[in-house]
Amino acid sequence: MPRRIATYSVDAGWSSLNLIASVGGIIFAVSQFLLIANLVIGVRGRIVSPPNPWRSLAPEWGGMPSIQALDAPGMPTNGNGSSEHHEQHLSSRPIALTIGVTLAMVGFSLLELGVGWPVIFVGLVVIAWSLYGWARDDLWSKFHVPEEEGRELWPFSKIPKIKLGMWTFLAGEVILFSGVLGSYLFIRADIPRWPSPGTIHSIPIGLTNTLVLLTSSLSVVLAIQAIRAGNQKRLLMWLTTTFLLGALFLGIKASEWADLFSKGFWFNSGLPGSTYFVTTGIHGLHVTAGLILLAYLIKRTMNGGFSKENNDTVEYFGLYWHFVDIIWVFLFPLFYLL
Amino acid sequence: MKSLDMFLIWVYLAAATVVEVFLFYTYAGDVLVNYAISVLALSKAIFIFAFYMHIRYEQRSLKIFSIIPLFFLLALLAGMFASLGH
Repeated sequence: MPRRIATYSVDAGWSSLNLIASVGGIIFAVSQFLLIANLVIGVRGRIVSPPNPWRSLAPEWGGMPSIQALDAPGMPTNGNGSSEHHEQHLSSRPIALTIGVTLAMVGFSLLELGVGWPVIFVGLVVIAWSLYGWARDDLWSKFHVPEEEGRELWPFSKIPKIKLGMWTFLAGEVILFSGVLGSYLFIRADIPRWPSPGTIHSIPIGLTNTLVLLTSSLSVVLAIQAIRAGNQKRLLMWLTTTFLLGALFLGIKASEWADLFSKGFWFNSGLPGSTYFVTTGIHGLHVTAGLILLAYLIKRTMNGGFSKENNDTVEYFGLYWHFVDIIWVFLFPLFYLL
Repeated sequence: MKSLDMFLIWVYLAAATVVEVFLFYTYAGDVLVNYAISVLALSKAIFIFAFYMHIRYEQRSLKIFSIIPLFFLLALLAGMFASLGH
């Protein structure tokens, strides 16, 4: 069966369905004009909506003051005249980061037209600027999200928003690695001939790297326990240990790749090559991102940025690092032993 | 949890990894060993998920939330393997 059909023949018997889908597509396209008209009318400001146009009872529409209201006289200020709430939870850097990533991706898609690299460069500059600003904003506690009251119906009411956000991010990561690992499993199941374990990849090196990453997970746990006990020196020690172990993991992985390249095992060495390099490459990028975060956490710790009461960021980083560890727990047997 | 408990979990994780490699060298190619290695890997992931990621001690809503993506994973794998040979 062909995957894509450009022209429907009468014999296929799909003409009616095709017609219905086409009419639906046209209706959908026309409906976009409604959206544009709404936007134009909204921008020109002829119709001003009331504070709660939906008559919603949800706290974000009903009970909570708006950002404008927080600026009103009588609201708590930080002493400089500006609203404390307004200032604390607003940072433009995450949005700037998404714009930078989008630019970089558009640049990659334009490579064939010869204008890709300048766009990629601009995207990377925006990404670097956003990450730098993100770290700076975090040092100034701009990412504090005020907890709302009166959310009894919300099942996550007692879970901090950023923690829930971290788990949502990890859920997305599960889907990402599901695609990559699922493809590998499918290929392995579909192709009977595959290089025997131990013939391409060094099992002792894989074992060493696994133990290194597992140990780094333990050091993160000990870091969290240290700061919860209020011990900043131990926090710094365990974070540094985690950083060194993560760097060691990447160093071993890099030497492993270099050794494979020297033996002629490359990205295009068939499916065994492409699946291995793509999967361990994506995992390595995650470890690299973890190291960047760790460098930031270490700097913040040295500045006295964490305490017995304020250590959530370390916990959320730990969630990410353990997740990266779990992925490797599966990658090791899949690529080295099975 | 105490630091000692966390260390004991690390001991299990490291020991299970060594056992995986031992099984591979001793009984390489045996289908049952492949299953055993897979189960050991799964047990390690569960230990990290439950204890290091603290999910065992979290609220029920977060526990449920954290395992939702696994259903998508299972659906993806089921769809993939159902299409094998087609």
